[in-house]
Amino acid sequence: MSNKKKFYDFHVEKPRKDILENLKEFETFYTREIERDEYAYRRALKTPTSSNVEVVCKKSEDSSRMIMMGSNNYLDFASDERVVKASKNALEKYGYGAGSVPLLAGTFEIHKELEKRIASFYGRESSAVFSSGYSANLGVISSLIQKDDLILLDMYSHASIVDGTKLTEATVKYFKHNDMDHLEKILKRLRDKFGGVLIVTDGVFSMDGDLCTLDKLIDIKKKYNARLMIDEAHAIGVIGDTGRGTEEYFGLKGEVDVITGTLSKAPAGLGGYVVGSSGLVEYIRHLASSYIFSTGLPPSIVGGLIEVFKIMESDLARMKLLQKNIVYFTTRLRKLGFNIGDTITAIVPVIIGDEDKTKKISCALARSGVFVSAVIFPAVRKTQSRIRFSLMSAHTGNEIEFVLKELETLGREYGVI
Amino acid sequence: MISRNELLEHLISSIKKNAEIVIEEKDFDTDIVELGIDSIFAIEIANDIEEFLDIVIDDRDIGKFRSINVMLEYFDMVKKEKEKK
Repeated sequence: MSNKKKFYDFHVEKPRKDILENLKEFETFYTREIERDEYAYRRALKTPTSSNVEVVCKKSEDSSRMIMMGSNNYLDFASDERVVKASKNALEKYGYGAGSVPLLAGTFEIHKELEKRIASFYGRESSAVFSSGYSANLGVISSLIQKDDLILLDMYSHASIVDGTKLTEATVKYFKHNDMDHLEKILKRLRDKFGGVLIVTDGVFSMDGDLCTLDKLIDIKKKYNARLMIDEAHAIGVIGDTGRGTEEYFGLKGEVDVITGTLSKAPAGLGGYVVGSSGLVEYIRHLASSYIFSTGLPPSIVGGLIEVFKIMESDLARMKLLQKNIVYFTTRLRKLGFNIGDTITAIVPVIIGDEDKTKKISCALARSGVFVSAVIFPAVRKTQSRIRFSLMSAHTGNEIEFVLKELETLGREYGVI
Repeated sequence: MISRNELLEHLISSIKKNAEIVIEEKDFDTDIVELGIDSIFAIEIANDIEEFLDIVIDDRDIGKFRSINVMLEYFDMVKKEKEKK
């Protein structure tokens, strides 16, 4: 019988002679865990992802409708008719797979068209599309950084940024989340000891939904001769007057040296990108292993993404609906007394604090038909367990009211409010 | 030159200041997460020790800080390397 209590307990390093030594214990633990109500990973959808989905029940062949509050499909493009049609057309014309890596035989004319559109969207000269946002961050950081450089990361930076730094031999320092005094204190002490300096942060943070303080970051990077990279994964299509993300939100267009992002959240497809000057993008394209050695995106995905960018450039209706939902939902939650931190985006963390309570409320919401994710340690601090809600443009007033009503009832029942 | 005992005292004092946790000798081999020192506290403590010893550490090494004794060994090693130079 395993004495492990959590999945992350298996990650503790200890001496061993076989890398698969603890698999049997893990299997016992896992078999036990998946029977618990609290195990909510890999719930299977039977319908296209949207604001309302049909989910297969864990312990039977039945399924039930749920309000989807756990998706990154912020603008509901995943099942949009126009996008699906464009994707089908590309599938018909170019076939099922890219067949090769982009630098060799895996670039189609539509890949180049997509890259042009992404660059234009951000007002930059060029862009490169990666197979995922994760690999974009790995590739950009590992290709740009050398041994004598210093990388400064916001503590809450996405795992892909942290993993990107592990591919370098540079020195890495974390600064406290959005704490510009701490960042400046580190730079004052260390700037002269290093060659190049790269400051990296999320534009919108994935667990808290708050924004980086871009204006202050720009001031600091100029003061200390550093470069700035931001990951716009959760910002594109969501913030800024026309959905162009953090630079637009702060009125600082063109100030960020390197912008990366994903095509799998608001754009609802797959892949990642880097945008910048032609020199920067081609440097990364020819030196980033995660670009060089990964097969190009399937043409059908690229066809759908081109349509998404056409819509995002010409029609702000969905973004406006999303922003309306964000304002309404967050205002109501704050009025009810929930702690939702500083979010102003589609990511709304309802901070419960206690891990067990968080799991129980999340289960209760699932039983009521609300699909959300409980986020616990080590993804967040032990005292900051939360239920992470993701809003969509497609959420109706009735759906939002239902979720608020259920949350209010549970909040009072569990003493959260 | 800073002695190992001085380093230990400073480490315990930093943990008390940053994480508001009082460490006793019996806690020296306990997993720091169980003691209540999460990654944010660990970074603040590491920053304190860096300034105390006038060294630079890679914050990725903070993931190796499994216990107070491991932290002490790590900083003692970095301190000695600096003293050799």
